[in-house]
Amino acid sequence: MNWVWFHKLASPPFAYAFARQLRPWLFWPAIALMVWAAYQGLFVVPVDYQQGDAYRIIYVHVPAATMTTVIYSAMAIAGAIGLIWRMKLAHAFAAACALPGAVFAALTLATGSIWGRPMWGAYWVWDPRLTSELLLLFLYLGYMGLRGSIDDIGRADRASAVLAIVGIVDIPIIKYSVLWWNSLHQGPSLSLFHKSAIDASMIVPLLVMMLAYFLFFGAVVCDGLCAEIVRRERNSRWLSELA
Amino acid sequence: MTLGTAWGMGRYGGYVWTCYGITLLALIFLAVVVRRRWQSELKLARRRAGAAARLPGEPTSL
Repeated sequence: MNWVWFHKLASPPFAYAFARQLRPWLFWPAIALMVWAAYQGLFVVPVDYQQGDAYRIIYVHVPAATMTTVIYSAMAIAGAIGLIWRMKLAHAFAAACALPGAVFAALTLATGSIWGRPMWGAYWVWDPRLTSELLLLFLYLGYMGLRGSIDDIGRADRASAVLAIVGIVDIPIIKYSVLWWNSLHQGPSLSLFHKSAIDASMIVPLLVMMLAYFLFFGAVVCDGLCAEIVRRERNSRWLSELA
Repeated sequence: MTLGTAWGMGRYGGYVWTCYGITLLALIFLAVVVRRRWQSELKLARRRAGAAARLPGEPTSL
């Protein structure tokens, strides 16, 4: 297999051009899929027999929650690659992931709290799942704060990569908190290996919304990566020519 | 489904529509902020490239 294209991604000019070209191919399909899935989730899928119409919140809550753990894992892996192989673009990618991750984490907590009010009778409980998700939001904010507080880009990359790698311990805690502890939060409804707890008529819009969130995240990361590359390559000839 | 029942969502309309509204705002915020950051970094790079290309003694535009 020819891996030249993959190695080329480590080159800032190539990655910049690649991200610029890829962005619209991710953004517009994401919007189209989001509109379709939101329409299905709001108006087409049947009412849940226990939760009534309040369950329709899952179509925006569950994909956001999934994104938070996936983005953080990607950030930590990119940080490790940056530390081990000294690949600057891996650090740039990790930096571009932080803001989307923080926004998705805040969105997860906000929509989850609003769903919790009619279902549990409270906006917030110190449940293991909610608390570990809140910790993840603080990790994202801490990552951005640490990166912003160090002027030297190389030092900021190394310090934030270490924080991302250490913080990954929170990801299995979030995932398995509903199984390890007596949690108020419901157990996993979706599984790759077992039968889903959600009815087939309700699951398709949810999976489509997840795909839409992934594509949207990809488009935002393309923009973020371009911003990071420009910031890091300010003094390089190729950027001066481009600018 | 009528407009009234869609808006009411049983008795959960306020919760459901608030969640979808917050989501829409958050996604717009994210797309706009990241795009603007890229544009401002590019503007800065253009300014630096312009300053570097200028000959010594060449007047700067005010």
